[in-house]
Amino acid sequence: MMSAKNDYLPQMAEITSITQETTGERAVKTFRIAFKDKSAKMDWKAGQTCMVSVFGKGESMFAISSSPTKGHIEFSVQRMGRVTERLHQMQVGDELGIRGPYGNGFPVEQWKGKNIYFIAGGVGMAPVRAVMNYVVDQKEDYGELHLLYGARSSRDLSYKAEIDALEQGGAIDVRRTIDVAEPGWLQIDNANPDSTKFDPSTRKFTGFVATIVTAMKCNPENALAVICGPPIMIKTCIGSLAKLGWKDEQIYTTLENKMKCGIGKCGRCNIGGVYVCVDGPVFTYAQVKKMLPDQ
Amino acid sequence: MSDLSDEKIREEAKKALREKGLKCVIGWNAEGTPTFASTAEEIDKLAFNKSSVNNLVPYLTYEIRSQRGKTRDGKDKVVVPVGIVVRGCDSKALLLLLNEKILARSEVFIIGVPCTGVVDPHAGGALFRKCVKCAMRNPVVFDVLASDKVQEDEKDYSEVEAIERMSQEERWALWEEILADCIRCHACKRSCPVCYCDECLLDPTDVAVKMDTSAEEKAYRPRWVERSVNVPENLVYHLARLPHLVGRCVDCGECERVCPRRLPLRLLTAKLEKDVKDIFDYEAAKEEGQKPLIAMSCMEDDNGFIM
Amino acid sequence: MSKSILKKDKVAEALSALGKVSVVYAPVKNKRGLVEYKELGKDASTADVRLDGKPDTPPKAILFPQTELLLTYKKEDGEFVVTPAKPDDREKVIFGVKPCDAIGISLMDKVFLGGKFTDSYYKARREKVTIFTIACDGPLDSYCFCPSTGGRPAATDGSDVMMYDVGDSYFVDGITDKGKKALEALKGQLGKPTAEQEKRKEEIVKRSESAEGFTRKISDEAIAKMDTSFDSKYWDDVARRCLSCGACTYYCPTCHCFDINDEKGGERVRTWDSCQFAIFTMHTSGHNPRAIRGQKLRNRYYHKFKYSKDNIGRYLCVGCGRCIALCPASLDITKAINEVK
Repeated sequence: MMSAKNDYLPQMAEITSITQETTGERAVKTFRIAFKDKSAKMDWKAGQTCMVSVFGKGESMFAISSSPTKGHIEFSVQRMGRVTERLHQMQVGDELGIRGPYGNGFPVEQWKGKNIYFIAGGVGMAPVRAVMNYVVDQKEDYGELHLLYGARSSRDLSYKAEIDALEQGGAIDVRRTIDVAEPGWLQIDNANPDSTKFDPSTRKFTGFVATIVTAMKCNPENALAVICGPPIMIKTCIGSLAKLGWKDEQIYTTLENKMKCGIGKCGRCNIGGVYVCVDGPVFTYAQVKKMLPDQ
Repeated sequence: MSDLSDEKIREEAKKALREKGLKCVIGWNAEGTPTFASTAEEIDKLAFNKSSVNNLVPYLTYEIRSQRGKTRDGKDKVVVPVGIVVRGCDSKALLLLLNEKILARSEVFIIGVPCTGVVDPHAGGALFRKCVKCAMRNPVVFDVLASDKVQEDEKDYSEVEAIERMSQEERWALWEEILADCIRCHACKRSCPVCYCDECLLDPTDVAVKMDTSAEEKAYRPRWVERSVNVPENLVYHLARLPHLVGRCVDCGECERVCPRRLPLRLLTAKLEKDVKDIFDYEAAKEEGQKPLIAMSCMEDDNGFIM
Repeated sequence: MSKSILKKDKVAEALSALGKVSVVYAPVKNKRGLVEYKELGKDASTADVRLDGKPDTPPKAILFPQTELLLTYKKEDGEFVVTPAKPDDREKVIFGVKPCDAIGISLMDKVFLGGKFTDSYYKARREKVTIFTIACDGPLDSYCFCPSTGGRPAATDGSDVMMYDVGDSYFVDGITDKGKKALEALKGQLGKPTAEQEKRKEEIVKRSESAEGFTRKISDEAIAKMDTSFDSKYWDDVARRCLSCGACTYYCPTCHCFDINDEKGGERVRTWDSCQFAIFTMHTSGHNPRAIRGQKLRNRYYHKFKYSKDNIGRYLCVGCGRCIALCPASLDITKAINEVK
């Protein structure tokens, strides 16, 4: 367990590998770290987060995107501002501070025996990847697994090799979708998702994630859905699922907000009376509905 | 200030609301609370008395600028004019904004109220020090005046002159002592009618970032002032804000009024105003259409204060 | 030594006696007429102490400084050396606290010491602080409204020693073990109370319980109405004159929001922040869920009266009224909530 005494003091770590997931202005890189103190350990649950220190620039909270079953800590970073720009310049061997794990994580124990639809958009794939790999590694305990992963273009899809391998291994039924058509990616009409007839083996689509949710007819029977991505995507996907008969308690999502302390003291990340850092980031849609959001 | 001016304010405000389709009229109610009146009933609550202490011009700037922008078709949005009640000091600040073309004359309807001073709630019923001898009691820009003009005084710079007579070491010690008390709440900047920048490089709590601001811009933005509150940072904040007010600050005193630490900020603003008069023979917001001081630099300027 | 008497003309002596075993903070009038807590023997003397009236600033900064070094980092031989800062954990007495501020401290304790994590910096300071509270007999000024928030002018929550003004003396009562221990330093100054003095103290307590004399109130009905007015345009109307200056949050006994930044010189510093400041909740992407003044103001009022009630079972507002007295735009939390639509 992390140093229990001073929760603002990070544990020193170094970058052991960097994977360029996507390129461009808002590129994504995945960092794997190892603690400098070989005896240091951090036990985490999929869905939990950690606060990464880039000394001189500040701290930033990231979802731990690796499953605890893998034994190493990874987090994926989109280039956005002061801390992330510096992270994107870093090399293997550079030092970081890590404190955590924070947050509630996904209640994977309660999901045993169920079919799971993982629905991710853009960088929302990071926390989904952690829980998806966890579930895959305990496959006997869970039902049918599906992944629907959407991004702006095929170049913006992360974890390509890993997801290809999972698909080929047969552990998960994978569908991908992009916003702007590319050859080989079947266009589905966003305004009328049921209008296009397609072969059920189709796995590459062009259409909003919510559109594909409707088109692939996610089945609520003994199932749950994990939705992570931009707020508008989450909202529309929940709308699509509701039309397919899904209940609020069956839908899980992760919320995010600007964080500084990460431990429920600085008062910044609240949505109504809920602190996203300690009470979340994982919530059921039933819980989200009861919140008092500002936007 | 009498009930007569209350009547006139309400009458003119209601008339302008009707005839010019004003969005609202910003004034004070009888307790001195800033009020945004957009109906006749609300206008009937407007008053002007010794409790009317707020400079309402920052609210006017917000009400007008928040209306600006482009419609979906790329056309300029129509700005509905806003009315305001102003005393002399307020009107000078407003005139400055008009001269700097931050607000357009057609966007504002100005009800001027000549003022004989307002009361400082911390001074047990006495007038604000700035009001005891005031050279700007009468509004300098207005559509209508709510009462007769009043006698103005010669401005009293004796407090500023006392500091001018101090040695440099004494002055530095004085300001270190005063600014050690500053808690950087930025109330002074927020209430200043001429501090209207969307982003202030001296205020780390207010940074203009949009969804399309690049990562580079966010990453490499310099931090001129840290969040830490201590004498060096406080000095940077105050002493760097001042030069941005040269020839612009009208010494309305709002910064000093709102300061929760009761810092004597008018010692700085009055000094600034005095220096501008002495060095450049310039007075901010003296008349409509006046050029900003910064736009008037020339070779004949006295640069002795730099060297 | 519970239940004793401290004569008012012995207070300076008592403060000196306390000063021999503790650092002592007491309300002192500063150069600009503001009464605030200062360290005696360093920034002020016992002669400057003012015990009547409500101090203009709460004692919050003693437990939760406005600027606090959390840790330093520097590169040595190519590797970072990170050193946590050591908080000021000297023995301290805060003397002359008002019951509203003492309750404020107990609420700050819930925030910083409660929940899943303990703030070790706050804890190190808090454990060494003893609070001497002087009870009020009714409201101190027209801004007071502690009974509406669950407090009382002679409430004892958060206090270690209670003092009651019974004429030419204070009736002194050690409430907690910490308080009783602190009183041992005052053996030379404390005396035995007379029956009359004890009676006067009881009367103060009785009047306090009945919350006599408070004209400023927030009704429970109005607070309950907040449950359904979250989406109302009312909050935009209230906030229209707010300048977002943050004075209310800085002077509030329970406002605890802070920022953490890596500053020049290799320092990670915690500083007070305000939910009223423009970019308080802004994401790095530029998205700001609370960008509008009405949303910010609503968040503050709801945090004080609704979220805190749901989370810690008590309003976070203690009814000291400082935000009302200080607001440059004449915003009034009591009026705003009483008139909630």
